[in-house]
Amino acid sequence: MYQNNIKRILTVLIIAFFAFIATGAYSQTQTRPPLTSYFGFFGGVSNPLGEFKKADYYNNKAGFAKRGLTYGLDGTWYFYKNLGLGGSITYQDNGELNQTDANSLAAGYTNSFGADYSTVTATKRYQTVNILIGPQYSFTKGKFLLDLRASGGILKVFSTPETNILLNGVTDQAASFYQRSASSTVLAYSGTAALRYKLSDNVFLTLRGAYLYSSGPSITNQGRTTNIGRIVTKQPFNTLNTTIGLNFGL
Amino acid sequence: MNKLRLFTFLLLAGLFIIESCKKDTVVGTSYTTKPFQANINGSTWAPDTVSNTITYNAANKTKTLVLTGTKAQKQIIMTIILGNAANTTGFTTGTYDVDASSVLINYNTQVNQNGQYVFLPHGTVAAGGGTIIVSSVDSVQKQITGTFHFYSRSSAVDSTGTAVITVDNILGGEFTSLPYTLTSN
Repeated sequence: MYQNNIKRILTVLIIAFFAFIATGAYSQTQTRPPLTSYFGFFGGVSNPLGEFKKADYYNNKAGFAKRGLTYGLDGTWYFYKNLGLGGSITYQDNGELNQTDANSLAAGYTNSFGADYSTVTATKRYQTVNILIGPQYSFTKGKFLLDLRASGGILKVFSTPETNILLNGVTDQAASFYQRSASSTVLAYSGTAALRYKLSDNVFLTLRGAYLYSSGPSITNQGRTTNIGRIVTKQPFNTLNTTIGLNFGL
Repeated sequence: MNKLRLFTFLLLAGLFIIESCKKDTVVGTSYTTKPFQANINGSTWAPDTVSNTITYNAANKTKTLVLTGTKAQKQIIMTIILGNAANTTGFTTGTYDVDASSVLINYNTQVNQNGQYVFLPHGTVAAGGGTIIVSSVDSVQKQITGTFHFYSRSSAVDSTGTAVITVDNILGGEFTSLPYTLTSN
């Protein structure tokens, strides 16, 4: 269901983009005042991508991240015709380890350590806020506007999943060890495409797709006596947020 | 319009609070898939050192299966002696109850004895105290599969003169497609 919605939104955005490009030559030659600066809010779905999405014990970059809720504020100040400076503040949740993940990790640790059995207790979830700013160019056609933005900024990581691993039958690792939840601020980069529809003079309905990448926070491992098995030391973030929102002209 | 903006901010703040309050705990457990394992006093135990031999004695016409597993200061040795046996590469399937003569099980633990770590019996598996079931034997691949369970009973007198009886329960034991070596003499 979500996949289909995402595909539909992306398809609409791509078609709209090429339509604007095709008509761009005409619109660029017109003399017109700068576009109206705006701000607004949005909400939707944060979709993990790539390694961040993978649930593989044997891949230390696999994040076991899930589709989750995202929402935030967004705005752009146009300083020269269709060129503006855009910024956003976005909260996103990329879930937590589920039962299948915990079982999979336990099986991996049992195998890696040659343990009689392993118990993995997972807590906490991916919760982040990103604050991004960057140049934006907007194409206009009738009541539609297509905004393209490249931005950079910070990703504030409030928490990542934490695991406690207890092995049984491993003499050298009798005490439990941890992959701690991370809490730090790291750099992030984003590319955004948004299709705005003018509902009235100062109100726009916006469909938005935002790709986010960050090399992510460092992860602390605690209580280990050996480097056997899965060890995550850094967790890259990679998401595509598909959202809908309202924007208000200033 | 101002009311709409106020509603928007309140909605976002509410969502953030709801999301921040999510605190679920998930516990996953995975047991070993090793071909030789048992449950000793409630804990899974899978030996990392395994020896499995079948020896044919031509003079006595006996065939002896000795299956030994060792790990973490614990050791299990199971012995089945078949009489009137033929010198073949297989072993007779069936249910073998411990009788303390031709079907034996020893449960040993490692102790420090005069500066040397040695495995010594931790109690006795008496006749009727356990069963070994050999369910299948692949005489071509030389692999044996079966299950076992037993209890080992020990008694001692503590410093106050009180008799202390300890029972070790070894349940749910299994050996699956475990390779064996075949010798005859």
